[in-house]
Amino acid sequence: MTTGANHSLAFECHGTIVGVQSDDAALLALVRRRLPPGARLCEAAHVDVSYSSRMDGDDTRSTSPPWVVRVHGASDRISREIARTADVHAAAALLAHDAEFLVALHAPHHLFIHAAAVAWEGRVIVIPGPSRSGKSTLAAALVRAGAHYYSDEYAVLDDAGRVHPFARRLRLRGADGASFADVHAAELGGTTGSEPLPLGMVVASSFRDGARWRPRRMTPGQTALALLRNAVVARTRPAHALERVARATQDCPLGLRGPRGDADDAARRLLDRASGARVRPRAPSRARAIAR
Amino acid sequence: MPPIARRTDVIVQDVGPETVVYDQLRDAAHSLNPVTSYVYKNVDGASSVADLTTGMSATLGTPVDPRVTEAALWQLDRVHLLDRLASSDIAARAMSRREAVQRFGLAALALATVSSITAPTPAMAQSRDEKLPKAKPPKEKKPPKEKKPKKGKR
Repeated sequence: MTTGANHSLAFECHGTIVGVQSDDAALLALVRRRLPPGARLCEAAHVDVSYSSRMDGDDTRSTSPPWVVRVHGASDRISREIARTADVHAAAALLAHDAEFLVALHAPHHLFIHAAAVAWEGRVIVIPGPSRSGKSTLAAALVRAGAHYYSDEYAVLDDAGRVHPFARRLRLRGADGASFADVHAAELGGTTGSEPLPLGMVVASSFRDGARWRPRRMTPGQTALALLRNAVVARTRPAHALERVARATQDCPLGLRGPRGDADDAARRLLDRASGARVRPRAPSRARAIAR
Repeated sequence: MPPIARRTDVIVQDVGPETVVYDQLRDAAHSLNPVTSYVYKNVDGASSVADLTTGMSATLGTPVDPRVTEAALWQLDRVHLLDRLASSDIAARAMSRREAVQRFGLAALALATVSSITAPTPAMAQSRDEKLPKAKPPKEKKPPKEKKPKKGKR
């Protein structure tokens, strides 16, 4: 840990305790505003992960001394630099992003799946997938269609196989593909869930321009693999991951996979399917009726 | 010699009627459908293909063709979940899928399935947040280059 850091805070999130030390209170204030969803400030004598930040006055490469943020393991033996930037806002953002990931990595009882999640009729629909697969867009469409928002980053599974919310603001990509907008579920006309709920459906789907929504049903084992493929600790703690995935999947009535096109169309059909309602075939449009 | 399943460096978990096996040596996970799951759990080095077929028929409550059992063994061997294949089938280790279709039949292979994934590293299951600022130090200011005197037109 860096000596001379005279401001500190600690927070607990999903069983992981994170400490942050800095020689400037301004950075800590920014970090406090960016804590991971569900985190609560605490007094901690022992931390699992700690961060230190300081102004590097020895850095002669720039005109203003940069912020240097380092992360340390519990034993303090392993330390790595995660940020070196002249912008205090950037330093805080990078620290918060790294802390969110390390919470996912260290959570002792919960399993973090890289996925979007919404709740519908008392069960959670989980959409696992890599970055840029359209998880957030589909989650936003589901919220607009009436589902409760749970997460667009991690579906958090507990020992009993229930899904907990990890509801940060939805991060939606702009039409240009490069810009982002952070959107609150309320801005989409939806609400954010707060209770852990059982898994209701797993949707392994990615966006493909022009694709029709015709998903194939996955078996329970394939559904478990779809979750495991996106589990943060699948490789580092496979027994922990497999046990929770199996428990969640055991009572999950449905797993679907296949490409999707329009998110709003897919969302409507998914909610129909989740309700057990049969999707009614669309009435022929007037143009098509005339063409016949 | 009868076939035998690999029991070391694997984590086995039942998911409904299927079984998920995590291979710790290769960081791969396999979902075994009920047929391959039965075969995997019962290849103990003592049971022959005929024994496995009889046992599976009794468990599933329907007659099972021995080719289905052979197809399941081939599938399990392909994903490294067998320590030993039946001695008469040693040649099967090098069998391609096309040859397997010819030998066991498409129906047998469709009944004995294994789905596989490679487990992600933690970084692979992390969001690449392109909105975050880059954590690079500002570039060092270079001294302005000296301008070369322009050559006058002749």
